[in-house]
Amino acid sequence: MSSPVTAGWGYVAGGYGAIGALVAGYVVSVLRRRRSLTRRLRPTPAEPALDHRPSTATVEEVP
Amino acid sequence: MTLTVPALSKHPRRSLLDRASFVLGVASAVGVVALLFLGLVVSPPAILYGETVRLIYVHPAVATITFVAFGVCALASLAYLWPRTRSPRWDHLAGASAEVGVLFCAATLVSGSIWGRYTWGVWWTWDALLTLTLMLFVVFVGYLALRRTGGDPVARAKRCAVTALLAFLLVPIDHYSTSWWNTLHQGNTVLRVGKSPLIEGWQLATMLLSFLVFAVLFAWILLRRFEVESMEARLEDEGYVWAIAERRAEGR
Amino acid sequence: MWRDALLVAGKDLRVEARSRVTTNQVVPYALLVLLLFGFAFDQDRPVLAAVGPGLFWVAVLLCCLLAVQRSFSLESSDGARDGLRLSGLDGGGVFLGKAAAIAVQLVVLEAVLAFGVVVLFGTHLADPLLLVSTCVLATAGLAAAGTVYGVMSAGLRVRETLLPLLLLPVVAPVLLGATQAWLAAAGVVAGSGWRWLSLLAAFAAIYLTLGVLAFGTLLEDV
Repeated sequence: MSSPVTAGWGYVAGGYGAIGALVAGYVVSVLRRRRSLTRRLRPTPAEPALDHRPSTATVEEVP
Repeated sequence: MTLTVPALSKHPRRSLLDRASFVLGVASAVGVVALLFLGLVVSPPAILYGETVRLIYVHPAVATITFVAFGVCALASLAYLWPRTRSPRWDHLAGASAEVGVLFCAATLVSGSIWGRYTWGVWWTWDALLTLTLMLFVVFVGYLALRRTGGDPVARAKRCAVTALLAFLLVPIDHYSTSWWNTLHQGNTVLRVGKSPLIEGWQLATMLLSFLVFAVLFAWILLRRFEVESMEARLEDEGYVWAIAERRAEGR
Repeated sequence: MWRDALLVAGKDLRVEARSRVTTNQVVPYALLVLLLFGFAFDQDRPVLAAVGPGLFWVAVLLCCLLAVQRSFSLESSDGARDGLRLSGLDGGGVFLGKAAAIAVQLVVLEAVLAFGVVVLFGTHLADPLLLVSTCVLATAGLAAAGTVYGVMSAGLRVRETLLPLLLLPVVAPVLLGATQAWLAAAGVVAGSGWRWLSLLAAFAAIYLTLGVLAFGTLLEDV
């Protein structure tokens, strides 16, 4: 706060920094959530065929 | 023995959404760099405000985008409530837009507060526009809390859509109440009825660019957030299928 | 619709009259809030008298939260909510009935609180017509908004914490308008308090209309 000019730059840095930090932080969090969701929603390679047919298993077959 | 589980949805493919999102991402990165260069280096300091005039290249644009984001949320909620256009997509868009709006609203409040400290000498003042912005911030934080309440997705979506519409209908009431109460904030710098803008040259160009850059940035973040919202809904819907697949993979 | 509204309002008020929750708990709570304001402002009579109208309306808002929560916790036990759904009553009627019951309780509270503000804070209240019309419009708005948000949060696990978060920011214009009108009536601020009434009326109109239209859907699905 030595002179008005440097003080002015301090406010500019504060304003730009605040907006930059908020937006950048948010973007990073969204991208990370997106990546983790993409990974979780990816089907595993050796996926058995899944269907709606009723199970043919009888009670005795279940160990 | 066959396990009866509904068919898995396909892995998200490269879609139009993906490509649009990529283009917007690159454009916003270039735009932000250009804006920083023009705003911090090229444009001259002002006589009255000194160097702090550079805040005019971020604060008004971010504030405008805040209102756009809440407007998108209200429109998407309306589209969800309208029986002919009802689709979970509108609900996802409303949620995504509200969250990005709250982010931009916070950025508006913080940067405005810093600027106000220089111009008015105080961090906060109970001016009409400031109070309205703060009220919108709190209302939409409540909306986001309501979105996280769980339960039946359709009921939750309806509840949230009604809340968002009510919040938006209150904007004129809030506007009148706060402006009758107190007005201190300066008027519009660029759009003035029957007069030329208060700024010119590089300053005007940079300020106009800032609106474009933040609009593109908003569109990009909104798209990405919308994808996350849709994927979260899918995981909620079909999550048990993945859980079963994971357990099976463990047992193999 | 009007007959349904009368039925529901009568039911809610009868429950209140028998359980006496409002008279035994909410009224003492309201007076306690005034007492706390008195402690917080350290018996500085001029300040207390000047801010009396504002404190009055803050106390009303806090009590409104309690009344709304009470009104919907009545419906949550013994499957009363399902009974209300299956009763075939008009959704708008149920809304108006519940809002009217809350409004009646708020009016009683406002009378007690106004008395308290005059006696404890020494606020000088004048212009009874303005005071009463402010009370009527503000109460209508508070009850309508409270009922809408009350039903929205009623079925949720986090309702106790969510309702204040949703309701208080929304009714902030009512607090602002009613306080300004009362300040004008008390002669603390210059100018006419009447223009604030248009604002309170607009708020009440928006919430009453939307409540009548949307309450059926909210009660059925949410």
